Amino acid sequence: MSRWAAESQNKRLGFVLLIAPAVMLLAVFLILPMMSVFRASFYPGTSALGASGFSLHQYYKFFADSFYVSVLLETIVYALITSLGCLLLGFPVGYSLARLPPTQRRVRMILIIVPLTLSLVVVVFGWLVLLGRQGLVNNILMGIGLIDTPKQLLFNRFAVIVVLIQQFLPFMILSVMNVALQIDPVLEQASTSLRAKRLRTFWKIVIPLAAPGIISGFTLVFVMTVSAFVTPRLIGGPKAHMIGGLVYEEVLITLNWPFGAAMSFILLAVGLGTLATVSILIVRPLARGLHVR
Amino acid sequence: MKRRDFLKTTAAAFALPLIAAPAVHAQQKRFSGVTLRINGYGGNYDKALIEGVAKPLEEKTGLKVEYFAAPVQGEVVKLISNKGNPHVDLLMVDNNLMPELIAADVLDPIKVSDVPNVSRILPGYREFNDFGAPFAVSSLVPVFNSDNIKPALTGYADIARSDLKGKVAIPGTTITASALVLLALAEANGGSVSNMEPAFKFLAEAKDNVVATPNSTVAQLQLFSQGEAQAGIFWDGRAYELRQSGVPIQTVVPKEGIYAVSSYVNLVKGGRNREAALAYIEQALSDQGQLALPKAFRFGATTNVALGELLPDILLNSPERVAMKRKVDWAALMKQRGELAERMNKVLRG
Repeated sequence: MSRWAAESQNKRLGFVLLIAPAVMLLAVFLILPMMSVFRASFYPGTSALGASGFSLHQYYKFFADSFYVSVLLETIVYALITSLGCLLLGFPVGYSLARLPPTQRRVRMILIIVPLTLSLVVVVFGWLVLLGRQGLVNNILMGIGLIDTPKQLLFNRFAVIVVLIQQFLPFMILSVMNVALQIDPVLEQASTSLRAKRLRTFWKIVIPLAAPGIISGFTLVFVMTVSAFVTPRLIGGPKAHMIGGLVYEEVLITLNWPFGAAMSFILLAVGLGTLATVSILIVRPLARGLHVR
Repeated sequence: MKRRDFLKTTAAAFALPLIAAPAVHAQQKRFSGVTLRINGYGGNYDKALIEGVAKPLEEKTGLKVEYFAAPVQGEVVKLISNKGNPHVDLLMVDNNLMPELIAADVLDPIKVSDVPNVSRILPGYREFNDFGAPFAVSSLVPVFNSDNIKPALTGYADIARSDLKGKVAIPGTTITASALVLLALAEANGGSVSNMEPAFKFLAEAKDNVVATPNSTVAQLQLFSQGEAQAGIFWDGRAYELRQSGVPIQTVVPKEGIYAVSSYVNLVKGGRNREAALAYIEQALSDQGQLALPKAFRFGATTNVALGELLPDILLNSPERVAMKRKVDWAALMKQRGELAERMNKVLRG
């Protein structure tokens, strides 16, 4: 064996040894449980305990019922709107943070990260107070004379989206910021010196170079929104449902694991499919700067 | 006093405690070194039980009681899956979970011969023969904000009143109370536990009134407290809590009858400290134990204890009121829980 081949083999062995603990951990605590949940989704009855057989009944039940299909579509729409909202609000913040001196950036990053350290339930209860009839938002609206009596701001779809955007915004900001830090400001200066206007520089230089951050932020926010269940349960009224809440109900309340499992995998498949489609059709072209000539 | 008399008196004074001490010691320390484990409901509920049951019991017998707050459904699953080797000495559950526990054969019966205070339980309160001892009762009744809602509600069916559009909060599908609300609505509209259809028909007509279906008692409490909801169906004790904090939420004695949930303490099969567990149940059903939760939350008592000054604030406070308590077939109701939750979600979503 040549020296080069031996070194290459050693490197490969080292790589395998380095990733082995993580792979084992994922295999035991993620892949195996997921496989068992996937198997449960094919049980015909309402219980996974002592169940046997193979049936597509749970999947049929889901797609044959317009209620579940409409909740699935609603969930995907929430996820897309939330991801887009986070992108629109988070990109300028992430980009401007990347352009700050390290000391100032650190202080501002703490402010962004602090909400993530709070329990989600506490954050949602905070929103319940803020958006309540006697809450800050209603008081401000009444104070500036926009409304005469307090309005119902909670328990609707809009409230759910607002709270979801607030919850997941930091992930978008951090994703964008990490990538924007790698963009050399000289490139923007060069673009300007070549008489490109600011908007053109933004579309043709900044956005394409920040694409990895945009894609990872969009993916993170989408995945987290699609599986959200605390927010819609507490903020959404009886009309605002998300699949996560229904899965929770089937698994922990009614103990119908097969149907809960089927719903989880439908959500996973549709979520990944939507994400891939959005990424291929919109995010990547946008990132390549193809929309501006 | 002569010297001999003095010596006799002194000797007697010293000897008496020595003779009596073992007996007194035995009485005081009957369960010395024993610790009972029991699931709790958390927060002030457990604190009230510690004051009324655990502390007095420890003073009397040396028995220590350890409450741990945990979701009840999870504790039931643990007990059933560890049959014969229970992780608790006593299990507290509401009556909705009792049929499941009895069917799984994880409970021991509690006889009057073992716990004399069981004989004090009011008629109609002990729903599962010799299994479990009900120690508190909470009613799910119509409530309304008396400042904003006029006229007052009179029954469960009033939540469909046209003046209550967007003002009603009822328990969400993830909590037991929702099944009981549906039963109340079904029975108020000619249905029964085996025919819940009238409840959904009614709910479909009332759906524009329902602004929220909170999935926890605390969330519903907050809605009434903030004025997000002005009427609904809620726990009597929690409504009392709101009144105490200045929110004018009034409870109604519904014309259809009262739907209530009883909390049971159960003797688990194969428990390591059976005698101590029985002593706990005896204390929970004593006057001192029975007044703990009424004092804290104005929940109803389950024995013939005198409620004294608490009486006006408690809903089930007289034989007439107790007679209004509707009998619930919990086994039949809980069997269809999944289906009920699914239907309720669909109907309210429209």
